[in-house]
Amino acid sequence: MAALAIIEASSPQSGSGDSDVARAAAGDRGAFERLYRQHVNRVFSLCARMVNDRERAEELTQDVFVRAWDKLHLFRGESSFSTWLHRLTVNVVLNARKSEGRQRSRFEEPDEEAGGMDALPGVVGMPLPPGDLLDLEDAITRLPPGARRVFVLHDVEGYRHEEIAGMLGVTSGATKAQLHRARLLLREALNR
Amino acid sequence: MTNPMTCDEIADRLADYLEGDMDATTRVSLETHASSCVACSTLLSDLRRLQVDARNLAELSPTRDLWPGIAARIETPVVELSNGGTRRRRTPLWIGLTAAGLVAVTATVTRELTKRSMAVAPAVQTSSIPSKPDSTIAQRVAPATQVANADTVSSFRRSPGPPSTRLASASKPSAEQTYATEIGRLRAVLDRRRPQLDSTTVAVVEHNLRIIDDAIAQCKQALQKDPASRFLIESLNDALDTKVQLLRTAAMLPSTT
Repeated sequence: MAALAIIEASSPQSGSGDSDVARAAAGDRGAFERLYRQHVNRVFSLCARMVNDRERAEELTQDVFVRAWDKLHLFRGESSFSTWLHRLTVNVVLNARKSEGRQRSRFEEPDEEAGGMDALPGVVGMPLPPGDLLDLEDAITRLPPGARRVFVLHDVEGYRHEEIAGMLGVTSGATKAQLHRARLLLREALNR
Repeated sequence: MTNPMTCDEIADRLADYLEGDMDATTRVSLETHASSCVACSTLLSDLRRLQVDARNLAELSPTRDLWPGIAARIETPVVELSNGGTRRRRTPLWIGLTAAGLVAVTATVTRELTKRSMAVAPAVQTSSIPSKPDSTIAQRVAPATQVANADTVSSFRRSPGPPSTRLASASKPSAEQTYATEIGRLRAVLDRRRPQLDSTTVAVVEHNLRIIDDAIAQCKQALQKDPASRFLIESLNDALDTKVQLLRTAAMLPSTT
């Protein structure tokens, strides 16, 4: 009886989520708005942690959902909608980074994906005022960009090194090195 | 029996250990060392806790409702320039023309703002205007005051009348005003030269101008719903740049008569 109650309580939500995906794919904007409401925080969280700029993260979040609307007809249901949307988010963020990297005008954030990982001014590894404690969220924002991206994708979002390496166009050895460096920097910041 | 690892060896292999990417023998060796070394044991403990904390980070929320901006963009596909429902794909030529337009607009705007800020006599430096319309590409993308042939020069001159006076007194015209002014001038040149131009070419130009105007209107409409969208602002500027470039190119087409 208890199991039945759990199924009944949980079914409508997942069922409506699936049907919203189908409806949205068929052009139902109301259904798509419901999907947006359901997933926006997760998408925004990933964007914000990846780009380290809340305003930019909001723009990217919008880009993600516009792209999702355009591509929804390609969603085959082979993974969950959440997983599909999540991967789309990563692609949007990384593509934006590539194009902005070429411009380097608005976001002068040195990128050390293929190079060294020396701490930058204002990031982990640089002195903070005495007694200035960081929580993990703050500490992540202070990581060097490449280390931050790998840490977020691996330790926060759960991607494997091979996947991250493919996304970033580097070797998995490089992402492992970035991750280890990120963890040590975070530990240093959090234990300060 | 395995040999315990040293602290340095631990540091080298820690990432593999945390990833579970380590054979059993090495793992035992590492754990044996960590069990008797306070520094390595603390490091291992801290990093494990960090992994757990990272997985349990709370979700963040945007500072505003992003849906209106998304809805506007969904309802108004941006810069859709073909009637067949396909997305605009810019050819290298088109990109080149747009880039040239950007250069020209930038040069023109800088020149205009400089002149206005100085609030000097309204006459422009017409002495540098080339006399031949079939100038080089570099000349073609020069500021508007330099690109027209002799019979179009007057259209570019800043007369000392009220409009120029008003602009000169304005401390900082908006980008949209600047575009509007530039587009108006180029449109006047095109209209004046229309009888001299190939009618088929002009028809193509007019058709493309309507498409660009449609894109501009769509951008403005979307911006009303989401004024803070940098994407929309850039799209609008892009469309305006494209229009300026097309008008400039059309204004410099060689005469058929």
